[in-house]
Amino acid sequence: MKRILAVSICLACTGCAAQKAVQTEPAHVPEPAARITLLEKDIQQFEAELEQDLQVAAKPECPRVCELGGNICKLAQKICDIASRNPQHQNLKDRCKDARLRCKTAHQKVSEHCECHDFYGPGS
Amino acid sequence: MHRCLSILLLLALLAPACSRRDGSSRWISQAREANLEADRAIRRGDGESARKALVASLEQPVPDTVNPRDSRMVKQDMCFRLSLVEMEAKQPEKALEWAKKGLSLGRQQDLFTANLYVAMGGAHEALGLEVQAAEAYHQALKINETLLNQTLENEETP
Repeated sequence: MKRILAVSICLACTGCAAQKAVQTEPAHVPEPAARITLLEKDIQQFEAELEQDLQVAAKPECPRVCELGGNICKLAQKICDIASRNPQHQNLKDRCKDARLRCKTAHQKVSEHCECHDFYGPGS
Repeated sequence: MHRCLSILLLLALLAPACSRRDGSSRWISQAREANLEADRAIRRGDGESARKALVASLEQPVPDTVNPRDSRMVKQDMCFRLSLVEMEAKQPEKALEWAKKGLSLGRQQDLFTANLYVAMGGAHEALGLEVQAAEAYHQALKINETLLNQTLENEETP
């Protein structure tokens, strides 16, 4: 249903745009087959963008996902701060390395699902 | 803020479930009231009153009709809050005691346990026990990671 709606909107938009182009640039009217190909490409692009927007908007768990991901990286940062204050402890270095890796993995996973505006990522 | 809402939400959810059991209902109500009183006290910078409200609530006997899992979460959250109150009062030893007390109630893969590990890490850090602090933070990090994976798995399962 969403797909049909999206395609209809895109067809309407591109149809109007094409009509305008015909009115303003009569010298470069492409062949009908070429126009259809161009319109199809536009539709595919609009559809992909819309699907992406809908996917991001329809994630009710995103606040929690962002919070958990942020927690992981904040804790990793705390561990690494401690490790840097105590360079003589190999154990702390190892913990820091492990924590950073977990933060990086979390960041990747979270980014695949949600857009977190204040995510405290591995590079922060 | 998020945490306060979560425990109040938990208490609100528990209340109707216990409505037919007077003892449980009373225990849930007093726990909710203690949390709200602590919130008000903390907002006006009165750590002592927050401490009193939370300690008094913790000392209330838990009726048998309350699910042990629920009472653990409620009590652990109070221990976490008490640990924060002590840290605010520059009493890291006491903060550490509350964190340990909370963890002694049970260690699960949930935010209540993770919060207590964070509180423990903070107290250890303030006491100069940095290796122990890093260990506690690492435990908290791993719980958050498990919760993140669970949340993402649930989201992918229709």
